[in-house]
Amino acid sequence: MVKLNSPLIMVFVIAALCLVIFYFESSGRVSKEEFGVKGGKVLAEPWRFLTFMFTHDGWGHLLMNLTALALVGSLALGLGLSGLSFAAVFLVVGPLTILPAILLSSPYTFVGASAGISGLFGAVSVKMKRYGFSAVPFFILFAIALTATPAAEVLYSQSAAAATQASMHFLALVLGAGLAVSYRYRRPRRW
Amino acid sequence: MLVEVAVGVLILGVGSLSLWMLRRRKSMLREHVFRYQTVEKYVEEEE
Repeated sequence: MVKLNSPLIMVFVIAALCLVIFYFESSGRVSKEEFGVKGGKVLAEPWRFLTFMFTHDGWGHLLMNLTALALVGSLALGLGLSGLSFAAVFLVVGPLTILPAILLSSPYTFVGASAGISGLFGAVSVKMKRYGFSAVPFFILFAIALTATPAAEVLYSQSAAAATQASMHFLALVLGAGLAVSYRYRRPRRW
Repeated sequence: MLVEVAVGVLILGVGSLSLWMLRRRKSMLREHVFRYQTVEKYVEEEE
């Protein structure tokens, strides 16, 4: 029996939202320009900070993120993470990752769940300590997996979009790990 | 598209490896606890 506060429930909720928005995108009812985060528009339409995480730019993008989401969900379940903390990391890291690019007036429209998912991988790497593993090798492995290909594209074609993607994945990974570390070493409450 | 597929494949590999390592560690710990309980029970019976 799957508990209500399980990461698996959150994986299904996030995946369902992504699929519903992708269906609306495919049928032409909404576009990534309407739901994505873009420098000038986001202050007037702050809900974009939420919708961008469930919007994708094509089948490849969606499948990559859903695969990664399923994996990080299984890892979170194995590590005993609660569904609430899973959702919290996803929803906090996503917008925080986009913020520097917005402040630097990036010309791109940002869409995709990968920021939140990278954050979850960061948090999971810290949580591995619970079973006696060191967090650093897992963090490095996740960082390589998330940034190596866009970084290679930067070297090959000097693509600014790939450079942004690589740096955002890495920033999200660091933010997720930071959140997990701060939660681990939080001050105990005094009543 | 190629970049997304490559990131997907890499994360699939790394994620599966982590999941496998975690499961192996958990089963090892479970076995350890089982052995400890068996020995404890045996010692209690001997006493």
